[in-house]
Amino acid sequence: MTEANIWWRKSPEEFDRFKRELEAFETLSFQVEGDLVSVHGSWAVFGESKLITRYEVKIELPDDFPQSAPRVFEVGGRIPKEPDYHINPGDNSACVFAQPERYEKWPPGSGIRDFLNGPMKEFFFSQAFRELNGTWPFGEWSHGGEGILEYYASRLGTGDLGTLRELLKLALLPKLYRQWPCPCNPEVRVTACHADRVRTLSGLIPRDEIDLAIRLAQLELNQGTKSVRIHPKK
Amino acid sequence: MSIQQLFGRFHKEIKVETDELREKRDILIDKIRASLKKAGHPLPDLLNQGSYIYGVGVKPVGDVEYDIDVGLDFPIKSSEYDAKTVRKWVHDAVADHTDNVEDRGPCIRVRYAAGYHVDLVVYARYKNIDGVEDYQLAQKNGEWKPSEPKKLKEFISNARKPFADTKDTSGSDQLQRVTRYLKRWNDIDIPDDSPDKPFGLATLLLVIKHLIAPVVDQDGTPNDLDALIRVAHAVKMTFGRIIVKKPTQEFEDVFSKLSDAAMERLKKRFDSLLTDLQSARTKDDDAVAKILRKQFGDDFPESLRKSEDLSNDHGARADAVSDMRAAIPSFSNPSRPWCDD
Repeated sequence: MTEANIWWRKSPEEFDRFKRELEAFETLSFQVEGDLVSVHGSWAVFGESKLITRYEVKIELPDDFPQSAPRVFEVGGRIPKEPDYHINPGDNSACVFAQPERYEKWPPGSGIRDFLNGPMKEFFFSQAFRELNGTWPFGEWSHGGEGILEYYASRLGTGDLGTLRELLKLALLPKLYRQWPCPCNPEVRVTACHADRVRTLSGLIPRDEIDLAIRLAQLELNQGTKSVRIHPKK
Repeated sequence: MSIQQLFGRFHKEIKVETDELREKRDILIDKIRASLKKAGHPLPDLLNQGSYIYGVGVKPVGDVEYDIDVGLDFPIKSSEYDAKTVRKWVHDAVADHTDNVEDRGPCIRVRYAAGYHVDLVVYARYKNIDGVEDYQLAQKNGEWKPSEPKKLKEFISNARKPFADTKDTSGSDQLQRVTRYLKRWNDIDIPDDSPDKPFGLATLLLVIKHLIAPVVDQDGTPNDLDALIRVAHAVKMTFGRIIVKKPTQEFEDVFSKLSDAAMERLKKRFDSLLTDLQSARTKDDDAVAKILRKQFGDDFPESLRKSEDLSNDHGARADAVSDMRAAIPSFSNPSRPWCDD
């Protein structure tokens, strides 16, 4: 990416918005090193009535921010840098949400405030709770492709992989016709069954992501896997 | 210094609290004495020995049992009794109370379901006309072996004297702490009893041999990292096998039980330890913690912040969990952690 295309150089308005939104977070500050804007400081986790703990964090803003999501790092050494703690093995960044979930939780174009108040807050709340209690308060996605399929299964309300694949295919179509049967039950019309959920997904998630999920589902089916876990919304 | 604090927390984690073990030991000894009395045998005195009396006991790792060493010191002349006979007195006295008794080489081991065992070491003690005490250790093969348990204790006690100013709040000095670190380091490598693993006493005597004086910072604060480096460096400089002679009869090399292969492995591990300890000198606390957890295992703290923030105080922890639980409903459709592996 050329220097002129770096987000904060290209769009001073976006940079101003970023600075304005970040000001509300007293314990965080940003710095610019070369082209990279990063946020540093401590992140407080609160319970219902009190401060539970703080984590030392670094947040790197991608060159095409706010199209791509920020990358979060826990730098205080509190969280083991292992996949089971939801830390990416490649770069030790925090896996704050599943790949497609990002479009639901922090759609491209969103600001830093929504990121901090949403995925960031939820991730560190989860980590602190896990540290104290040994469990994830909101559940967790499985790693890799399985977690991606769990996300779609949860949003579409079916853990049956064959049905899931067909529903995802519908999400790629421009229109759902009322006479079509629903993949989950040929006796029921799709418009009376899964259509709303499919439309919600296709409105949120880019086609290439859905296409990836279809291929993942096919791969699992080829290997004889029949179903994936569903995590209900909380 | 914060690396010292990391070691301090590590030491707190691995140190055996002796009060509980002492209580268990006393109950067993009372039972043994009662049975011996009933059988008409001489009654032994208790001889405190072993790691916990030297203040170097470490909690076992994994499922390995706690170990309590107890000397039973019979007022008899070894030349008048067969060692096997005296061991049998003890064995039978224990068998009155439990089925789980093993006649092992140097001791009689009593196992308890609660996850600990007591090793009873049997001595014959005879005071000659000059008032000099002669101790003989009863071996499984029926022979007596000259032993000087009190002299050994005195040797260790003298070795500790220069370290009096390095005691931590639990009363352990640097010599004891460094010994505990290295014992745990060995346990991480080989958790169970094994001919390839140095005796706890061997580790203690190795530390005594190479850590002659306390290692402290300019302000007088103990520097356990550098003390460990000193021991590891001395081992690295040792040509051939590590040899440490017991300071009492029979002056044997306490590392002699290790095969050549096990010795080579131990020396390589010391090399690796030295490298990591030296690199820790130049790292920040969290990087130090990461490096040293590799060597010393998961009881080495991940970071000081963690230990400070989410303390091991169960009450505070329960309160925090309860407060967090109350906050959970305020999250609407929260994202869940994932991992792209």
